[in-house]
Amino acid sequence: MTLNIAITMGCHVDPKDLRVTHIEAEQRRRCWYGIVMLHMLQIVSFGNVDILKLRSCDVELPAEVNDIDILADKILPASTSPTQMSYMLFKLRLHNLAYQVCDKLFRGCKLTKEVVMALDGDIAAEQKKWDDRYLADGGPKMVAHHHKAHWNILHGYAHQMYLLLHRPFFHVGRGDSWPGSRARCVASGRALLDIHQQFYELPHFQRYRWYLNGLGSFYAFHGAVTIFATIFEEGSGATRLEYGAAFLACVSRFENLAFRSNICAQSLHVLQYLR
Amino acid sequence: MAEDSPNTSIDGESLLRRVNICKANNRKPPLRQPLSCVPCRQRKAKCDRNQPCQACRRRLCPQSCVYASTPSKSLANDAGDLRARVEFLEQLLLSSVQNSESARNPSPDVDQDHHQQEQSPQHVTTSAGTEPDSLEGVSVLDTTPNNASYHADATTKQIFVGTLSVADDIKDDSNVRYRVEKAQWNAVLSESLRHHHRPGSLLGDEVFSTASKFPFGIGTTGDIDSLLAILPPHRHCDYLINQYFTCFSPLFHILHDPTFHAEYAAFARNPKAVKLSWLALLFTLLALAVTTLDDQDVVLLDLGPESEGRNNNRALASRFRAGAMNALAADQFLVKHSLATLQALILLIYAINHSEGAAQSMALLGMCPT
Repeated sequence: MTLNIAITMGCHVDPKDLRVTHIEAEQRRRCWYGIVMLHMLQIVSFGNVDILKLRSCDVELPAEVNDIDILADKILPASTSPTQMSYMLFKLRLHNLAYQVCDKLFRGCKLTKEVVMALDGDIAAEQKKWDDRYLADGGPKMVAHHHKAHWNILHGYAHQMYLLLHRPFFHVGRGDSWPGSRARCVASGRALLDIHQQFYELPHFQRYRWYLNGLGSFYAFHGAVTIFATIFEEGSGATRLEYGAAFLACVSRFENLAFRSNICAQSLHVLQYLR
Repeated sequence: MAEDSPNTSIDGESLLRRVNICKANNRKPPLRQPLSCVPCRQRKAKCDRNQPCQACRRRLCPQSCVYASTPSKSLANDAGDLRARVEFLEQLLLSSVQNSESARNPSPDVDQDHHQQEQSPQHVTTSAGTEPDSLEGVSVLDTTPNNASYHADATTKQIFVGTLSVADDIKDDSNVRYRVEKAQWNAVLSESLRHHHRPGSLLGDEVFSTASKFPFGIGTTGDIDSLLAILPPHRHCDYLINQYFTCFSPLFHILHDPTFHAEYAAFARNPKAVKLSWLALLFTLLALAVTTLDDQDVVLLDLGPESEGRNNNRALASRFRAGAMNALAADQFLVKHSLATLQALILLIYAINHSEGAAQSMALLGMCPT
């Protein structure tokens, strides 16, 4: 319905061909790409939407600028710091990657080592772009807490995609597997639990705690199950203890979040079963 | 004896299965109901199964014409239970066969299936885009054994395993969903869903109460005054709008913030002159903003219909989303629309994804025309 309204209003046509101000043009582009993102969410969740026609419309991406830099008659030059559009534009690129990953995974195509490595490289390249944008001087310091929250959310999504991509090769010994797959799964699983812990415990993320009611916990659940599989298969003491502690801490957080979050409530039963 | 030699009737196979299951469970096998009366059975005579039967009347002993008591009710119950158990066991068996086939003959698809079974209880593995998403659509569904099941065939590349479920506990509607799941997790997940339907869960009612009339029914909230009455007090509005722009706006940056702030200031000066589509947008932002408030937030406690903070969040979000839908319907958004209409719809879908799950917003989003 919304898509049809957008097309009726001409949002599928790039606004440079319409006589509108820059402010309205940017709003139109944002609406169009908002709809594209919502469609991509449907695809990777349910696989029931044909998006080819949507992607063939040549609407330019929204400008990566802050709102105050958009004037009626012009747009001021883009900056290299994170802007109000940075997160959404990064997310859009990630959605494209997720679409490719899910397309390979869920349409019965043979997932070869080359395909996995290529997509792995693409995800890593995106992660590098976020670090360049969000981290001051390439270091770990963030300019602002909300940037750290955005950066964490993006990385959470990336780790989820790594897990999807590499877990068919989690068990070492398959002839066509990439040896790094298992290590990638374990690292991503661990990272997802870390991100979940940060959003749960750090005071400056308190206003983002709602993230754990949905996707944040969904990804953490995936990470927890991966870590559990690792503990199950590896016998060595130190690793087992460390991962075990992380797993149990995650279950404890899920117990506290279960009242507010349906995802936590549903996955808690599985995690307690594993425990 | 009936339990030793399989009955060769049409029902013989199912009886044998029932018998074996009962044996496995250390229960007495269910006996067939005798149809002839006791005297006729003793005499091995033909019985017309009336009360009293003709043979007993001829023998002048109608009072002895009795039939063996059959626990028909409990048998039916047993049959129902057994049917459920058999279906569950069949599904487990099918998934074990698939697993053992994949162990003998690994291929990327089936092996991936195996890993999915190990590491994820759901085939739907990633929900991308709007944060936070949820799988809430799943828990509304009925998991009784009258579902049609579509199982993956290990010899084909098809790896989708799904069921069609119908929520038949909604009294005047039914809701069909295709749900993807792995059979061997049914026991754990259906247990999880049973646990999940706790009293006070707003989930089932919420989904249908906000969406059921939209976009056609307006109810009594179609005029400006009744819509404005749903809004929180001005100072709370300011607080919530500020929350929206702090927390959500950068994550899904659809609006042009300075434009909205100017419109908001104009609205504060003259609320009754507001455009309905813009009002819908305002309601949507409020619906998103309340989800960021924690249980102890003063504004939440002030606004909420519930005395306890925890349910206020969802109740308020639901109320504001309903306000947005009513405003859009009153604006006749299906026939006339502005940029504000579109922005309100997009953010409303984002808000529904956020609280009810992406499955609930699919129809509102619209399918891409091919």
